[in-house]
Amino acid sequence: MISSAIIFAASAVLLWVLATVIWFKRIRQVAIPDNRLPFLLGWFGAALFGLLSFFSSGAGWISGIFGTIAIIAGIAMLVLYVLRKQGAGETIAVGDQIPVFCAQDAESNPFDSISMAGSPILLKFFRGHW
Amino acid sequence: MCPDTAEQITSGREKHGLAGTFIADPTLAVTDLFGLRNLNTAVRPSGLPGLPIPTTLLIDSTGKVLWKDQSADYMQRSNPEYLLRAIDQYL
Repeated sequence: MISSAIIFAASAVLLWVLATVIWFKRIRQVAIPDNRLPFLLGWFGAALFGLLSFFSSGAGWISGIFGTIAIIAGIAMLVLYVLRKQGAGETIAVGDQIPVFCAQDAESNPFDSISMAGSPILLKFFRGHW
Repeated sequence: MCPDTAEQITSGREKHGLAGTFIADPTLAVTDLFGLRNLNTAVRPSGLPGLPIPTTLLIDSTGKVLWKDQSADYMQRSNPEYLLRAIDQYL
């Protein structure tokens, strides 16, 4: 007989895995939906179910481990979500002249921004770390 | 332009089949010249001094910025069609 504590703990972990896997899949596709409530509810629900597993009948060390994992992981994703905002100081703006710079290209050759002069360019700043 | 080293860029470029000129900025020196360092450093990969705010600039042949795309939320990126429309409009 599976106790309700085990059911809550297992549901919590499954909910977290489901929400997180879909979330990162959408991030890779650059397709995070505007309505993020289902993901937030998924992580909140995981933490809540994890907590409930401690107070349900049949609570033991197995449900305790999975319940704890779900609580920590659920709260961690909610915290990451809250911290998603970026901020910068005075950034380059439309109409500005780009600064002159020197760096290295992917082949470790010197790259001078002067080499870009004379033709229009598209310059992207990536986070990298693929 | 990204904070990876030249070796990391080569690896990532091959993995994702990307074209174009890639510039390494592991110290964020160039990113700082453009004022594009993300000052919210709560979330960043370990071992990096920081991260740039993902930004796309269209620049004319004299070096003037014609168009800029930037989000305050790193989870939101422009889709390619949005960028292609800007290229059609400005270049």
